[in-house]
Amino acid sequence: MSCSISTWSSRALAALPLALCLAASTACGGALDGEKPSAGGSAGRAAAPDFALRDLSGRTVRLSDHRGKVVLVNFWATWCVPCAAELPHLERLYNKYRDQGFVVLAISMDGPESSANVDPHARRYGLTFPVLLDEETRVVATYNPKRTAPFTVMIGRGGEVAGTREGYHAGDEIAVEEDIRALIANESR
Amino acid sequence: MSLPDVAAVAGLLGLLARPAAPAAPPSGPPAETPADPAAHRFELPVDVTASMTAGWRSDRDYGEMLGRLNLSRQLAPWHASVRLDTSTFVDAPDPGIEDRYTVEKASAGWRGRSLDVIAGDAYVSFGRGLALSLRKLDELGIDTTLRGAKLLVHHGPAAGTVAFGYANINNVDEATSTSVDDPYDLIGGAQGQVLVADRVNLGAYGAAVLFHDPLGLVPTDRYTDRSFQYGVTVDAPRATQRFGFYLEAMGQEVTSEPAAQHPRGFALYGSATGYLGKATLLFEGKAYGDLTPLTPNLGAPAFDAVSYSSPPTVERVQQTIENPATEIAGGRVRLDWSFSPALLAYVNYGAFRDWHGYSDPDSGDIEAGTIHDPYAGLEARWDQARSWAIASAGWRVVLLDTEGGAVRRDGHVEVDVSQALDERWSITARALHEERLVHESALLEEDFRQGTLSAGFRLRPSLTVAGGYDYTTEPTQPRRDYLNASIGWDFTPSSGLRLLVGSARGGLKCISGVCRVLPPFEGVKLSATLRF
Repeated sequence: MSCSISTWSSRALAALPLALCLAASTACGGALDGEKPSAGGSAGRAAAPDFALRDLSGRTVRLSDHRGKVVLVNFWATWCVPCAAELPHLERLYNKYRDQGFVVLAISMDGPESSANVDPHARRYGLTFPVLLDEETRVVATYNPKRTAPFTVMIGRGGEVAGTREGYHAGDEIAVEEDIRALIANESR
Repeated sequence: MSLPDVAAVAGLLGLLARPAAPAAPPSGPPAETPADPAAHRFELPVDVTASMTAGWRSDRDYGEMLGRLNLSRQLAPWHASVRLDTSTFVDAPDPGIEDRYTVEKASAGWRGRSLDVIAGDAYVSFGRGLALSLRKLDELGIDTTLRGAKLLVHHGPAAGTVAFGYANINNVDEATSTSVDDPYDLIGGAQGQVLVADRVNLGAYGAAVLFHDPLGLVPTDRYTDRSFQYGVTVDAPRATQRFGFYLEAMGQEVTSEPAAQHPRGFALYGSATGYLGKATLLFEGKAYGDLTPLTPNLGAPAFDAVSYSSPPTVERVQQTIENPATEIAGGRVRLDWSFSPALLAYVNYGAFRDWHGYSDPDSGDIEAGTIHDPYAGLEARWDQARSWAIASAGWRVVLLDTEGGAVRRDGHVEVDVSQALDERWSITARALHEERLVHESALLEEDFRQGTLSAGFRLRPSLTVAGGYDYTTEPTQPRRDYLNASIGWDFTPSSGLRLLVGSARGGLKCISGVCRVLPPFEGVKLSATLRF
């Protein structure tokens, strides 16, 4: 549904997103998303919306099944080159920290027309963490409305969104590991 | 939707409710201490993703400011979200380009462990998208939802989905700045699945699309053109430890005025995957007969790619495809081989028989064609996987039975390289070259090439600088060479600014069988993304 407002004065509405952004970013200061998880854990942070998606074996996996763990939700796609560069690092981090209550949920953004490629991709990289299919783009629309790939959401043990990260460049895995360690350390105290 | 309605939606989302009432986690986090800086900071009561693009298009002499504001609120088990789009233009040259302020998406719902109810906008897809696929495809500017109601039920091994409403499309096309109203096509359907023997998901679905005013000649509320799709699925991704498969069969019945040329269509799709240690083997096949595309009549070429279904093409995602879903059958086999974690490779060969046909360059008759599509790729990593090279190349041809020569040729080579210099600095380069031949008659033979070369560096965690060069010899493009430069500043890992100056080529762009012609760009563009 749409509404068109033709008066020139109504053009001020066009600046609504930017004005809100700037005002909010000024007001929030360091609360802009993506900052390194800090002491204090989950207080004041938005709860991560629960979701249920099928994994590559056909079983339903829910975010709430992993409540109490530090969860890294990664949105990726088989056609995304930076995603291919990042996935091996996520596998290494998963193996390194899984015993400390850390899990990776990799959500494929491939549509139904290319979802047959997802399992061979996961096998190719030897991924051992759950790989989930979001063929309806329902979860990606909730967490990643810009549909950026890759896109990472860090979720603390209390189920709160602790930070987000867009894209992948060489060396970003260092910052991701710091985030994981901070969340594990802060919330196991 | 009126402005008071917008205010009502904002109220629902909690924008007007301050101070923020953060959604409290149910257990565990340590108590805040007065010394904790997090305890003193302001928190918005909603999740916000906002993007804004402001620019001047010097090729068409007008300015634009496009905004998207996504707001969402979760107060388990309730959730709500809204997306506001604004498009404002200065000196817009075309009557089709007009200011527009839209509540593009809005939804609210209740999510339990076995039940999920959504009122408003929802994405819907049945099976592998043969019958119904309403979703986001941002690469082509597509974001179609069903505005109505959607119900998902899970109970033990069974699951079901019921959805109905009307199609809500992206009203503004950012590439051309043109806009249209929603088509108001009515869509409804149901899908059920049951897990058998803990290994096989059996499913069935039915979906109907009623097209509003399909001829566009006389305003009418009649829905004369209708399409009904029904089908079954068998999904066993782990049928055995080393083998999985998926099968889907669909039928289509179409009624229209005047009568449809092909009132009945069918589609068969299947895939099988074998896991053999270092190797993964994928077979994928399709047979589509007389399928009628589920495309709305929007009356604007920029929106021709909008569709309510997306049958798998079984080809490369980026492949230019003229006939993805009508009277075509074939398949592909792909072998992935992992030599080591640092070296991966794949080869793919596809072959298809296309009865929809191509013009014979000699006779002008439409003849069936055979498509051969081999391609291969390689991935190499070094420096503990912090540096990489990913390359692919392919050569697709369409041959006619009668003429013997190629009436289409599509070749591509693509290379992405990234080299980490230290923990903060890295350099990247990308090269894409495509060759295309379209041979339709003795007079019409287009043989052109196009590509992109780009290089840049990244200084973690904030700065990205890049330069690019596009070239094309496609006859419809106004220029052969395009140069651009960009600089990006990320002030958090997920929020930042990008400035692009220069030009970029347009042309035909295809994603998963959906193609559209994108216009070239010349000018300056500043983009901001903010998440909090």
